[in-house]
Amino acid sequence: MSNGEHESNLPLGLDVGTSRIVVARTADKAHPSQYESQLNAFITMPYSKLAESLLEREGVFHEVSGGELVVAGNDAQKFAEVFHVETRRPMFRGVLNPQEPHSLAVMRSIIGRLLGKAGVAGRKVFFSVPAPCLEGDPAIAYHEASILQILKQLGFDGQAIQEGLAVVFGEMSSSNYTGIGISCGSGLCNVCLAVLSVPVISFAVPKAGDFIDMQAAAVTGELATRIRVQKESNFAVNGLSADLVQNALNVYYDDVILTLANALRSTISSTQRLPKLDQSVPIVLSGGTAIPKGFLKRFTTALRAEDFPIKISEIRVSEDPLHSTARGALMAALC
Amino acid sequence: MMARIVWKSRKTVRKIEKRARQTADPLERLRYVRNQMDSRELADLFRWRPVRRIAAWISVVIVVALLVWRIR
Repeated sequence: MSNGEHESNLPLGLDVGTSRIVVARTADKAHPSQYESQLNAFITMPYSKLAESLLEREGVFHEVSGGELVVAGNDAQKFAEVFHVETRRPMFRGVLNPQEPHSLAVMRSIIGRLLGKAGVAGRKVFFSVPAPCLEGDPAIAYHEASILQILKQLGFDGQAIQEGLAVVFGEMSSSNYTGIGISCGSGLCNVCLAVLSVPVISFAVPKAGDFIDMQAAAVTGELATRIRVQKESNFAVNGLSADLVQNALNVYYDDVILTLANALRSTISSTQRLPKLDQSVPIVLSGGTAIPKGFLKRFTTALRAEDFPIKISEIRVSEDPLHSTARGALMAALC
Repeated sequence: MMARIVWKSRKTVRKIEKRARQTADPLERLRYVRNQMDSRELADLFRWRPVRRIAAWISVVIVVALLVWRIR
């Protein structure tokens, strides 16, 4: 068996995020560290032969759907900026977007582009799914089944793993996979308290990056896409400033952080039959929303403002926050 | 009796943790921990048995039995 053939048998980890889809793969089991990602977004434009041949010539990731050209993935962002339009999103709040007729087709093409066809039928893929929100979320089952179906069509054997648990697997080997993993993504903040790799509490908070973008866009009159670009390029959570957009971002970041800290405290406090933990446990934050400078400090302050029901040893942001979930999913697949 | 069960359960957990720490490779460590935990009911491993409550109930039963015996 050649190296390429061997590689094509190894399991994969897939982070199916509201904003990005990330695949983690490994050439050998000792080094699970290669990542590839695509923006989980698209734009459509009216079909014409000329436009299609132009997209093909430029190597733009696109598909023809009905009478439209659908540009998906990373290229969608470039086109949105050129045409000054919002990208459309196949997912909303961690699951398939019910308002978007193209959602399943776009997801299929992005996942297909990232994974390709399984070299060997039944190749294992662990993919992330959100935890239910505290108010409950019946759409998760449909979302999970749809991703499974896409993977099956590509020849893979898919298995779901909750996003928070994937963060625990990807980040907490030093504490024997005991701790609180938090993935602050676009649609949701997913939380999981695990003890020796077993998930004890999992839940999601429906306020995250998209909430910040939309609210900041509403009060500043900017496009949410532009707010996101600005947030990702030069934003720091450091209180109020003179800049209107930075100010709005700070206000809504604060809202998200406080909501997350309060939800974490109240959910753990109200959980019955919580395992008695001898030692203090770490909290690891990951995901794009946790990247800005000052996020960790603000979250730590919010969490320590009141008594927390379990002892915390440290609170830190992952060293590679955009890949934590995919890495954890890959580790679960390799086990 | 109950205290011993508690001690044994926690001893098992500590044994898993100690053995896991000896495994340097994160993937091997996860594999080991998951294998160990798969065969165990988490709540049984970690939950403190209500030792005091059970002891109190046994005391009550003995006292009631003694009272009944004395009255008869």
